[in-house]
Amino acid sequence: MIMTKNKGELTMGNDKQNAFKRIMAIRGMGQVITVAFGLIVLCIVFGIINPTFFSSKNIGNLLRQIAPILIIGIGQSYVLITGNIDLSIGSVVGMSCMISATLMTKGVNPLVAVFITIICCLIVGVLNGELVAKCKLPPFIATLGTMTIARGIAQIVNNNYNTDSIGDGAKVFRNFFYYGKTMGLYNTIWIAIVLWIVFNFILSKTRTGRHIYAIGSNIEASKLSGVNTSVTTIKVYVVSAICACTVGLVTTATSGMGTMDAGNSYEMYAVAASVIGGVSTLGGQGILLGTVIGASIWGVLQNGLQFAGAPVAIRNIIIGIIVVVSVLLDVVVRTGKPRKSRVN
Amino acid sequence: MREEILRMENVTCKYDGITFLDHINLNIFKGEIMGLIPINSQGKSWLFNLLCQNYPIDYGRIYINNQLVNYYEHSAYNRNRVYIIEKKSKLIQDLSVSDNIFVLKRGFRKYIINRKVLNKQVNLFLEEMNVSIDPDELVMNLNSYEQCIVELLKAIISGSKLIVISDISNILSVVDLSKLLDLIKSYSEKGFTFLYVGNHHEEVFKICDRVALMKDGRIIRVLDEKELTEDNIKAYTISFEDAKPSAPKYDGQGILKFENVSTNHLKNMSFTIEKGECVVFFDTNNMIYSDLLQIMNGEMMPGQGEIIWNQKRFTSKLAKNALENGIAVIVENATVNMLFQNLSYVENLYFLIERKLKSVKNKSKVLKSIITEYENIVGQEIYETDISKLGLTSLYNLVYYRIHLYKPKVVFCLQPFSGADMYLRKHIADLIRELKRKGIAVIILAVSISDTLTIADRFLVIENGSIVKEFSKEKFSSLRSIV
Repeated sequence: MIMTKNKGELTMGNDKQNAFKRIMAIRGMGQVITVAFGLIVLCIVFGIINPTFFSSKNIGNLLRQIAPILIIGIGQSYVLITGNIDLSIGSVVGMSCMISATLMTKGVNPLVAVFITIICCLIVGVLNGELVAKCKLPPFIATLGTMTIARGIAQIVNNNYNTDSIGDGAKVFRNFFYYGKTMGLYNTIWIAIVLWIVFNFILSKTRTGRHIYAIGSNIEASKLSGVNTSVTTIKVYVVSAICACTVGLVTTATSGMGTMDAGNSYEMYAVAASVIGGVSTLGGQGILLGTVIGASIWGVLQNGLQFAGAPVAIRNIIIGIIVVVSVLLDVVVRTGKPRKSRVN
Repeated sequence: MREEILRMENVTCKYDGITFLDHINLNIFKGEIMGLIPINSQGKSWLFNLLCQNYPIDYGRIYINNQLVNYYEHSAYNRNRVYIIEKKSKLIQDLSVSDNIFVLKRGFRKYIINRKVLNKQVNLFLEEMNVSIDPDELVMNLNSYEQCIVELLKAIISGSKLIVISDISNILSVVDLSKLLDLIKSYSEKGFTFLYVGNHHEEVFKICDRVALMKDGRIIRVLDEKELTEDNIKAYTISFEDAKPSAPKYDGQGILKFENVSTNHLKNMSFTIEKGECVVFFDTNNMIYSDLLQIMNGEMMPGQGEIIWNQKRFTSKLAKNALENGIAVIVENATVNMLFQNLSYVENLYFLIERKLKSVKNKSKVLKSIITEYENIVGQEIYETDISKLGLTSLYNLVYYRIHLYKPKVVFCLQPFSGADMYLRKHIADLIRELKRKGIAVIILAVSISDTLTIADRFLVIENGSIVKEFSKEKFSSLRSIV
């Protein structure tokens, strides 16, 4: 009996060890844990500076602030893991905001407006993917081009003016994307959670997810292993466009109108969220749990520094420094890590 | 009648006026380990490409598993079930072992991945191979041997009709190579078919049932099992003996001395390198090279022991300026990794010596004399402005004469003969002798004996980070049997 118990304990101990080992073996988990620790420290520091930081109202607002950054961070993480980049995210947010708002101000049913907006954003996503995967354009240049195009569309769609209010007819739309609550949480947060669950599942549990990592790690070896690198690259840019589109719709719902400069610099926020969370700019590494932490750090810094009375310029400098340090950390870890692999 | 896995009939491939494959006739039977020794490298990569994918050919037919897959009138560009394991890994370093074996397999249909099921299957195969690798481990954390095993497993599981193993002795230690060869043998007995490509007949003869000799893109002879003898290969090999007078001896002029040096992989390493001598470090476990090179370029300092360089203590400050202090390195695949494609031959040749010429006033006069001196050695190629037009022999000239011109006290050569055909190996051996003649000590870091014995003055056998045996030139004849 005692022996059985001991044996059972031993097995459980081994199982726990194995589970821990498995969690730590997940690519990028080490950095995620480090960054999560940093997030906790930040929260404690801001809580000490200003105890209202932990008030339920501020927590609700903080989460609502984090949600859009997390959503675009998910899209950018997908693209970064393939070793590419999407600079058009911010402009697609603006385009999505302007198209949906313009249609709604013209009396189009919000559901139809959302549908048309999604289609337009998907076209940009596919275009990005085609330019990078099939036309072999450097992703930086290709998405820089589509960034300008999408911003131009955002401006032209209402003749270079911000739109009027989308009106009471779009109340359901505004509640769905921003003002409404479900189970005590703002809907924006729920949207972010649902998108995260779906895209995290795809990335970590499906064949497509493995192909995404494979392309970022070694595109030539991926081709030899039968991975359709073009289709997978297009898929990640489509995911990025869907995420940007969603944030555009949230922006419309937030302000109740379309603004041409909506989503300005969001591509950089997306890169920041991904990179701080351990997604490698060199491709092949990173998990979406890290993007959650990265987006949270971004949100906590913005919110906490605001509470601490730091001017916007200081906030930007601090966030900028954190992004650079994160990338540096990634490069140092990647290049400095001794590999046991083949000679040379 | 034995089942034929590969049959190539009169396969000819020409490109840009050069015949890369010239009426190749080759057949391989099921369960056979066929050897291939490329006497020169012409056509080898073309042959590999054609085995993997059905590219257009100028003449002939290719059958795989008794099916005509490619012939001169029609090439479908489709891929054949042939897997090539070579120096450059085809595995995705950031994915796990089971992902690499199953998920990145052509025809893997399942969309949602069940890690437990995949791991269980991988474990079954690994147990059969008697190899312990964690299926969840990322490939980047595996050593060369384990990566080869994963590739072999991937080839077997993906149902490859033919598994090509090429120049694997350049990346595996003798211990690991011997284990891999045992596995290959056991799988051939189970009906898997292999094409084993190697530059050294000693290595190829050991494992193969038949061996084909390839020269200038032609199969010049196929040796049957009974014909796999030194006498039969002699006619196709060249002598590596030095045609010039041997280099002067500088006994007693020790320039590099290790005294009980220990690091993660070096264990109480002690040796002395004399001026102008050539010493081979033969590591049977393929462990010490990165530590040794990192020490010499200042990236690592030994945890224990002392290094004396040129009668002085070797410090990290000295190591940071290793090249200025007379320590040079020639890495593996030097023609790719050490030359600048956008610089001309002369600019490449000057690249190192330019540091020394900084203080010289009449620089152009010095440069002119250098060109005159080396034109006598390398000929007109010295005036080449686009080095991509040069052949491998000329590029190796450039790599070694750059060091020759710079004249360091010691040069570390990492696997100098790796991947080179017989003629190129002979040429590299001659270039190393030229360095010795100039009084430069050469330290060769190798995982296979290859042709190192033809140029070495001493041969150190290293096991688990320690020197276990030392052979002087006179005792080389007894070395092969021991190693």
